[in-house]
Amino acid sequence: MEHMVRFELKKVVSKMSSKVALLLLLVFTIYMLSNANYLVWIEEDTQTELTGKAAAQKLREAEQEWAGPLTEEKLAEVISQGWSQGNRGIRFLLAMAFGEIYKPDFMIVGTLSEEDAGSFYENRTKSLREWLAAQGSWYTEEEKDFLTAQYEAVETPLVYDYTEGWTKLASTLPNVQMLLVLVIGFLVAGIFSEEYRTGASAVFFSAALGRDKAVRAKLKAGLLLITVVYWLTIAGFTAGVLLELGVGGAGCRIQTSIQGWTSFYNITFLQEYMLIAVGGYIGCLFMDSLAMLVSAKTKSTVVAVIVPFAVLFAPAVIKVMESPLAEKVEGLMPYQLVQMNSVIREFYIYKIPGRIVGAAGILLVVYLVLANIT
Amino acid sequence: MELVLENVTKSYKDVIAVNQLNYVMENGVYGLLGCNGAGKTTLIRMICALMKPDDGRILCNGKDIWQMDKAYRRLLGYLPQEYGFYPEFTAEEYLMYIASIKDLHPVLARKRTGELLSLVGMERYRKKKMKKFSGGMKRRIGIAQAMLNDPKILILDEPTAGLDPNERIRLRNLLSELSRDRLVLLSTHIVSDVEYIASEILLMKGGHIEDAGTTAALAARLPEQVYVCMVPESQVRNYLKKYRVANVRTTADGAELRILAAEQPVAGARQVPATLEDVFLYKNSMMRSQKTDSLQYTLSGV
Repeated sequence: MEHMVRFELKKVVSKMSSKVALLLLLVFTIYMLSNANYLVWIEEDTQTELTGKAAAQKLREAEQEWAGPLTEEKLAEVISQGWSQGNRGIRFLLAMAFGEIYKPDFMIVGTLSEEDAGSFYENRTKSLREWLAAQGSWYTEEEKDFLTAQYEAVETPLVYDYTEGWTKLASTLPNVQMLLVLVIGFLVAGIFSEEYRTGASAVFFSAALGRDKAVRAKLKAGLLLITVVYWLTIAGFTAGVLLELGVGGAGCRIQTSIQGWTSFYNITFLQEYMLIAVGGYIGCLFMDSLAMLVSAKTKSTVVAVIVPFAVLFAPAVIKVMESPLAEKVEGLMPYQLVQMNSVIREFYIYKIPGRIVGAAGILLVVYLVLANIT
Repeated sequence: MELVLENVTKSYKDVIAVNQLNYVMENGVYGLLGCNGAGKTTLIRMICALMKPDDGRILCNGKDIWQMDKAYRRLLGYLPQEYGFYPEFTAEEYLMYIASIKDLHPVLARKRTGELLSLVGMERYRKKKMKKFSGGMKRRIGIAQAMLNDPKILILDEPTAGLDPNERIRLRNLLSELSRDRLVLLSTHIVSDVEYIASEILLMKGGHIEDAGTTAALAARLPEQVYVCMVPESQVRNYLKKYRVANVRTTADGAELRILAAEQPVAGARQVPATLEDVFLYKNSMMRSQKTDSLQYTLSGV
């Protein structure tokens, strides 16, 4: 079997089109990596700009002055001190706490007094309650109670730290994952159909193992290709970001960043990264396994290549429909697996027997099962 | 080894490609001869278990080949008409891959690959990529892949298609060598190929076996005789209309015709022994007077 798998991999990788696709993946990943690592630090004394690793180093040093629990005293100090590059992150959180859900008020931060620091955590839940009330019947009372309870369950005071590496990873990894779905889809789309296109199918299917082990070897080669290309790219990209911007803050709650402030998932940056990485892998497995299935059924590589595109971009139709049901459907679309950062931020919630849960868990379980069935 | 075709039928929409076909084959070389569209490839695909008959069954040593499944395919070696390959594979890699899907142990596969590459005269090209091979070289590798598992049933669909005369002769000799102790079914519309190799010829037309036997037996059953005669060039058209003409050869003295006729077509015409080509012409053509479109005949020496 391993012998056959090796040959199947060679069939895919030796094609010029596959080599070009892998080269494009490499080029775009490097480009996205350079974008992710773009960071600017202004040397206030000389008014000169630092970028890249040097900027990250300066920012880390400045932010680490504020590292530790975000107590009332620390928040009051940030309010009284005014804006600086080191307390920028905490001032963003103040803008979120004293603004509305999804509408941070950056102007209000400058008008806050030290006494306001006391209502920082309370305001987060208060803004949610006000926002939910404004949504009317969009969410059921049970759903509203669930979201409120999740907000209240956040352990306070939040522990703050420099987390630039993790926040950049969370926001840029989905772009890499989308590219991976398409490139891997392109690679595996011909695994079955190329036998028909080249006319090799007659010899293949008339061979002793041509209808069982050899077919399984093709599937195994496809899954191996998905797994290796996906995790190598993700590992490379992650290493590229974390080596440049630093690994600090992995254990902090995502609510200590402007992106994670509204999230009802009470998880750390490391857990968020794992969720995004594993979600993307399951997304790739599902969408690219589907491409292989279509390749086998239609005997057409072109149709099979279109499948990952269709699965990624078809949800645009659902997005134009505004209703609670459309939102729930949208939250469970397979493309969400490569958009886990937004799944974590949005209020995609579902009632399953006995409890209410977020979309993330459902997506992981459902599509892992579907990928296996496919 | 016995292969029995029992009422084998296959249709595509309204067209019956193979119609209630019955035949029994044992070890030996069978030449399946028929025009394009006679149903040869459909029949072969059914024998190779690539296509299920709509009706009837195919038995191998008394067992239905679809029930035998893998056990039947272990006995089979197949070179399809449209023979696809993997362009980036070398000849050796390709044969090793096919050996793996034929369930040959890698050690045996390597041994067989070496032997067959040598047998088909491709040993020195073993490390060359298949995309660089000529049609004849690909065909030879195709034969080697069909032989990898030392098949008891060897099916070759148009093995000499697209080959130059030298390649065809080489291939014919090779097939004669490979045909011992097995059932070989060779499908082609090139009459001379089967004439040289096959011990029994199956003439296929309209989805069924119209006649079968050795070349001599088929020729003996021909209801017309074969005559060779010289006629003025200006009269060739008249003869084409009136008779089945197997060959027209223009010479300085006029045209030499090879005619199939029940009686002497012209005074001085000399009777010659019938060949398989004559039988094939008789079975597969009509006289121009019976058919409005062009008659099938061979022009040589023009």
